[in-house]
Amino acid sequence: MMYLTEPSLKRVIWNQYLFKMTALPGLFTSLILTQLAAFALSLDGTGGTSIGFDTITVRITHFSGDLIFYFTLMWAYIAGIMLTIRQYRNADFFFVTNRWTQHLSTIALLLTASLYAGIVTPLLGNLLRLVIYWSHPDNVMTAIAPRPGELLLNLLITTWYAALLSCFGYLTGMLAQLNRVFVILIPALIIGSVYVQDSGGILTAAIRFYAGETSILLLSVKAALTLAIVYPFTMLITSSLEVRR
Amino acid sequence: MNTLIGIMALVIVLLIAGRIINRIVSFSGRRAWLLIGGYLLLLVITVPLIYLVPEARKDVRRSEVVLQAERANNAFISAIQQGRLPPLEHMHELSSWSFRYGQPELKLRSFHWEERVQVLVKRNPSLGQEIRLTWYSTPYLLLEYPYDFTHLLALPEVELSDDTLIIRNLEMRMKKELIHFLSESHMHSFTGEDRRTYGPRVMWGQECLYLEVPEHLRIIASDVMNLIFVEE
Repeated sequence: MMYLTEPSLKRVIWNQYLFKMTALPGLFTSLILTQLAAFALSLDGTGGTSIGFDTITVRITHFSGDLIFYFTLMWAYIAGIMLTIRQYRNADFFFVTNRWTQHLSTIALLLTASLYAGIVTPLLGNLLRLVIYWSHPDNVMTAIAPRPGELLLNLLITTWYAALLSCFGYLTGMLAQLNRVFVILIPALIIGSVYVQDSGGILTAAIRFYAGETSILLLSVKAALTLAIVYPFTMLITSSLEVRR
Repeated sequence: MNTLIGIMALVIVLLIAGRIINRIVSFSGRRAWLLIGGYLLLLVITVPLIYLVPEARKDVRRSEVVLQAERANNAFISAIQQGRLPPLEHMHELSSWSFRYGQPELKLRSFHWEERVQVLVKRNPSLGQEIRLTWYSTPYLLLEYPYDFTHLLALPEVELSDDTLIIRNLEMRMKKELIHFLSESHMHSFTGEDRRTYGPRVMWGQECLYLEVPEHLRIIASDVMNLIFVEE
């Protein structure tokens, strides 16, 4: 069969990616809402200590962007799952598409969203520090600004973690598309892993594999390799699915 | 059981968050993109702002406050060992008292006395019928801030009753609120920080009660008070 225009694979993926970016701003606005919720919860401090001297009690309130970070990871995982549900997958069929282009454009969207999350998460931590600084003018406090270079490091780490979590979310969602049994099996596996974590469960080992890393270069290699394995694996196991069902 | 409750709570949060995301993802339009861009812009502005505030970075180790406190402590210990009054330039004068007193003998009586507080006695011929007390301390510091909280120390009550000078250490407690900004926990493996060491580090001050008395006054103190007679 002959066509007037022969769409290249790159062009199709790019068009689908642009379409998804335009049609799904909710992916990003949901991140903003999630982060604002974490920000509001962090305003009261993320912990504290009290120490007593002879006649003085000093109460120290800790502030950090931890909650914002963990909420962002939670968002990334759920966002990965949500992009696999039928409502969003079917949006691809406005274009010439197949299973591969559908996957690749969604992966590009998830990576873009992870980069956005990686940028805004440490910066929201900065805003938290500034708000605390301005709202507590009479309190004595430690240095507000992160050390030089720490911000960039935080940005890279958060981006990789968000990319990993959204990738695992995407795998989870796709497995659930493959067979509904996974909807029950995956949470059961996670709960089971948590239960045996004291004796070195697989979830603990997996978290240590990434979180125990001390070099950003090695973390980047580990995360990039994981993405390079998990995404193709996801595409492979779902290749037998009908394009549209 | 706690783990299970935690997991169930997490699952519920995930489900609710999922529903919220589901509802919002179908929302589109220019306003949403303005929000996304505006949010990023607002946060990018925090980068120069956070480094511009006066409390942005503190090099605590090189801080003049900490260096002065170290000098004051060293000078204090050295002076006490040599039996003289420590140099006053780095010490806080917390309080002073003065009494008219004409008797040949003075008893010192204390309540809740802390043995670490040195009592330095100086015989001063020019005093005549007067005794003077001054409470000195080198700085007490919380190092991470660095915060000098010497002024928060509770001062003793001093009263003269007949031939007895009564020094009563107060047990009142004062509260101070401080703020500690922590780096995010996922950064610690990279920065080498250990959150277990986040308890504040304290540089303890050295305190002394400087007692100036007429030249021939005899002083009788309880055993807990360590009197050091200074010459200069």
